[in-house]
Amino acid sequence: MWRMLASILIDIPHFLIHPRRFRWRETLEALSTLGAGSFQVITLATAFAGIVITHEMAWHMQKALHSVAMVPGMSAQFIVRELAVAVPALLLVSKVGASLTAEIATMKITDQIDALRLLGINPLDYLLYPRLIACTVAGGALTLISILVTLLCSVATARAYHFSPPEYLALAGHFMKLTDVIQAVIKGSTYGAIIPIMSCAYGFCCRGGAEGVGHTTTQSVVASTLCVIVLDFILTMLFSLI
Amino acid sequence: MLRFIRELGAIVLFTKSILYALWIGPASMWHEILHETSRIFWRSLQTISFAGFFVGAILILQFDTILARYDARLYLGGVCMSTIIRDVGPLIIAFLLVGKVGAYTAAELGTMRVTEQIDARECLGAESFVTLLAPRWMSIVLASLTLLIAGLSISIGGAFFLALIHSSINMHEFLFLVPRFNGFSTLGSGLLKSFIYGLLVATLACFYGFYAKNGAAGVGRAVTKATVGTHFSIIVANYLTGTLLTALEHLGGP
Amino acid sequence: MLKVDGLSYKKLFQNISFNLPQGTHASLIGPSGSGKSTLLRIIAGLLPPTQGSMIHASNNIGMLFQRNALFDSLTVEENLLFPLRERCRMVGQKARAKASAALEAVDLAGTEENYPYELSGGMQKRLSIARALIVHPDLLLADEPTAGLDPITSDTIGCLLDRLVSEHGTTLLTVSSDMQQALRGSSIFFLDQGTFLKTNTTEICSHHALKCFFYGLSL
Repeated sequence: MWRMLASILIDIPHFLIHPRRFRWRETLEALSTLGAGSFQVITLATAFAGIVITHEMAWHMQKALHSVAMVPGMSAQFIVRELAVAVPALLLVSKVGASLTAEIATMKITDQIDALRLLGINPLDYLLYPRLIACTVAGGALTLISILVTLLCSVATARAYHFSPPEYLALAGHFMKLTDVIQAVIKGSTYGAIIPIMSCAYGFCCRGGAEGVGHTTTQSVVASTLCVIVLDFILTMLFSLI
Repeated sequence: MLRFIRELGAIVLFTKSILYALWIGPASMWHEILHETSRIFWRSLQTISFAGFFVGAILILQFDTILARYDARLYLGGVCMSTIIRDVGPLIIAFLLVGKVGAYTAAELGTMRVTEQIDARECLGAESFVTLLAPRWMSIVLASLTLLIAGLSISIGGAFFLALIHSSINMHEFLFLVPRFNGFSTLGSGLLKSFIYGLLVATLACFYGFYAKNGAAGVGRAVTKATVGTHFSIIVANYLTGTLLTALEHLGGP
Repeated sequence: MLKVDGLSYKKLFQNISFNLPQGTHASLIGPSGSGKSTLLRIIAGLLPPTQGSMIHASNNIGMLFQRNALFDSLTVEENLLFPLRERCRMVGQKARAKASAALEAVDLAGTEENYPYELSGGMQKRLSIARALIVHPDLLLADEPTAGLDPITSDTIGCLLDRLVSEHGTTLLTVSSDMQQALRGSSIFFLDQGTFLKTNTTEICSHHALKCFFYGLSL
């Protein structure tokens, strides 16, 4: 599997230099499938998590300061910096990563990949790159939209602690910087990029029937989740040092 | 929408069958359950520890930055530990469990189903719920709980470690407020969520794996559905328990 | 036309050479695990040989896979339009007409909107034949074309292959464990533990090993 991953990573620069390998049709298809299927559920799910976090922050503030003054600030900051970045990415791993690996693994063991090669098509061009581009774009967009929707829900939740929306926004925006949002989008795009790469790498080297497909899909989900978590750490560390 | 409700109903019935099988099963079943639990635990511990460590580390970094802006670094230790145990820790570690344990079981059961092993077993007199599903389910629940506890501990360790090596954090300050935030309510919340997530992982993985169909593609589909379904149920469960606990706190509080 | 010279693959077989004139039909037979499918994949260009070379009449090679390898996310019609678009750069009405004609030729007219998993085994096989032949390949490689099919369907598929291939003048190389299918060819290649024999269908009995294999006797 590592060889497959390495060959994919080596191939990416080559792909970028040769725009002729780019397949419009498949990329647009991938974008629309992604947008139609995943965005609403993932955003909704992140919003749910955001509501819980807002309550949590209120609990913490009560404990610490016996006042809820910092609730909007803390919640909003945490949402923008971490929650609305990591949770959508992890959900994307399951929604996109698992299904992509399963699809490619099944194609591998039924010789469909070989059939593609025989028709003179590079399987990476047809299967990986459209989804790589779509997922990278979608990752960033998803993060942005998740941030917005989750913040909205947080605003609504904060009303239970007697914060009106304008109050919330004022307090939240006090220490928020634009770089926070930009960092979030960069992180989101990166996670969006890593998921199809891992999924395809695992899918392409699947072996052995039904058992192989199950095994490969499982490994891919675990590896992608770990990758997202480790990348999250690395990027957070990097951004904190800037 | 109708399909969703039908599926939900099927899952509930499935769970009922498993619980009944656990009730009527022979005592020897529990020996197997413990054995299986320990197997799952040791198989997954490495990955969970690895992830847990990073989760703790990430949260320390994030809270450090956020609290610094409010000049409230004092609370870093307490707030961070508490958030890890109460909320974010169980959530993210559960996500990993879905892959390592849930997807694995769904794949295993799915393959058994698709290669007709389950049919063969039933022909030979081994009733599926009692001999296969109930032990599997229970051992996943137990293993998930223990793995989550282990994972949370490692997260705390990871947070601690990063606090140590991160130059600008004062250790005394860091530890000072930890007890204030991490009392029964925090631990209870963490345990409850871990238990519920474990139930979800077990149920959905066994359900989708057991009812897989149609060859290799079916196994892939089963694993995908198990993964996606469990992820989203965890989010919903997080929301429900979070809201419930908050309401309880408000009632019990002032 | 296919000319193979000194092909070797690891420990499976060494130094295989043969010549297949354009338009002929050859069968590759032998016990399981002897490397027949591997040899076919090497000829198709999917696997690099350890040694040796090949000359094809052109780059237009088609292959029938043992498990059909139909694209299961595409409908029957889309499965046929796909190679037309990719290989022949043919799209639109012209492509659709060609696809319809291909489906008619294999007796699958009316299944355009179905997905491969909705078809029976024999129908899937016919679709894979249609897909392989729609680009008019100069060489068609068939890996166990009648595997898993009942005798009547096997016969139908065998005749269909023969007819279509002779219509287009395609060279056909079949790997088959089905002796009836294997005897349709004019040449027989036998591969067993590295031994490679070439003969004509009429002269099977003059080779001892081949005769035993053919009649299912152990040596």
